[in-house]
Amino acid sequence: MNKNVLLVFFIFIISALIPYIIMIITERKDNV
Amino acid sequence: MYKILIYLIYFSFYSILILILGKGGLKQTETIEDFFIGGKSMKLFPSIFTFTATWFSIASMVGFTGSVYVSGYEVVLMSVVGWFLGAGLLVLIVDSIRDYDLITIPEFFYKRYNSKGLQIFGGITTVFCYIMYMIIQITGFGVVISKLLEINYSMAIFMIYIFIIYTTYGGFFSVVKTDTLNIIITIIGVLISAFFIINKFDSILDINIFASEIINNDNKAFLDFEIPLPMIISTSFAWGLGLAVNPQYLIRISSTDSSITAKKMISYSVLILAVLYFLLALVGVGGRVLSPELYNNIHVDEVYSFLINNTIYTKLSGFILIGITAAAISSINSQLLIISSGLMIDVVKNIYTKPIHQELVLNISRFFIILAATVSLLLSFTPPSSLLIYGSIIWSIFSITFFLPIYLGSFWKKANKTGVIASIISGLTVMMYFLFKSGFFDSSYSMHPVVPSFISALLFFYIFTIIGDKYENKT
Repeated sequence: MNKNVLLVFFIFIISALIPYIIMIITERKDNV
Repeated sequence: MYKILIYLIYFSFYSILILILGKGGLKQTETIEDFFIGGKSMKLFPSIFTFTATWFSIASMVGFTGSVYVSGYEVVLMSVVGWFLGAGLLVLIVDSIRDYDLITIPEFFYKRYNSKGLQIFGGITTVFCYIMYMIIQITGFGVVISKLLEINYSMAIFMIYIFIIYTTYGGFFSVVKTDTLNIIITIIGVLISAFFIINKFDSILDINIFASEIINNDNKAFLDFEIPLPMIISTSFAWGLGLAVNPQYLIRISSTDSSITAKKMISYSVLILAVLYFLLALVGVGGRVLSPELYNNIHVDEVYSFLINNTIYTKLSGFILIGITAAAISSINSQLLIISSGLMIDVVKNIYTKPIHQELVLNISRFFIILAATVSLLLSFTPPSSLLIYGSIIWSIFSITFFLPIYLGSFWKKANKTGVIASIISGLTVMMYFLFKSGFFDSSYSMHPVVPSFISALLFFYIFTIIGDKYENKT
């Protein structure tokens, strides 16, 4: 399979998780 | 004829549901805060529904799928990845936006920089950009529906005109109620189209294996990246910044009942959207394998409707049709509400400073809804060439005018009015220079014009904030 497909899929998944990760980090900071 | 009859049955069914749900909003609306942001009382689930529905527009469903059909997965990097990163920035700004207690986003200019002039400018920018953006939605709807129902384009756009006025007239509560129905129908539509495309192959992997073998007219493989990397990154950057300051998303932070609801609303919605875009990317690539003949013959925004009406046509295709309608309406009604709030709160209330009775404010806001919808309808008779490219230029205007004042204003204490004015003027000047030099809505840039414009705006913001700071300290 074309390696670009895997690369795009990887970047896509990471970017979709970014808002969630930022939420967790900022909430943790608020609670400290 | 038989196909059209089936589509009309679906369409009538959808219209009845919208009629029933849309009228509820009027009863709950008492104040201007209710009308524009639902009285800051929205719980998590309605917030997720309305956020996702507003985000997932016809540019996503039809424009994105068609673009993937033409250019492959690089479209994902150029658009969706940027949008998701922009959503990450939205999460960062939640606390600040809620601290300022806003009904409209340009109010930030007044509350943070104490400038009514900037608020009026923000209101006018919002109205201008959203009317332009609504044209994209109305046009997209017109193109798809006129093809599927075999009706005149003008008649198709008039149909959506009626729908959007009806669903927006009741204000935010009405928008949220219809958005909930709309996003459910849209999700079903996307699931059905993805199911019937994937069903034509043995597995998802097969779609990509077949797609890897497709060669474009210029002898390059379909799945190879053709667009230069700087253009991919800079377009994604333009979309991301635009999303991070787009009033239709930012204002939903104000409408939730707490900061944590707002943060969850954004991050959970993005996860739902990721699934939808993943499925639509498969529809685009799978569609290219199944119906390669469309590549040279039809416009990018007509690809999706062709696929559902021919390549994967079943009796369930009507669901996809109303899914497209729902995606369009649920985005336009929020945009219409933003235009109305911009005109009423940011422009009229700042120019006409005498107190206005609440009931009159609500009625004028409703009048602005009809006015903005009518103007957008009239301008939609001459459609733009590509939904996605046109959209990215309009969002760039938000990136340049709103991003630095809002984000630096939230995180940098020194940020002041002088810096904001200088950054907006320099950013827009550089943007105009690039657009006039290469032509409006041209896709042949080596780098998206938002990059040099943003850098210039950032430099001017910094320099003039320091100068403004010294001047203010002297006086």
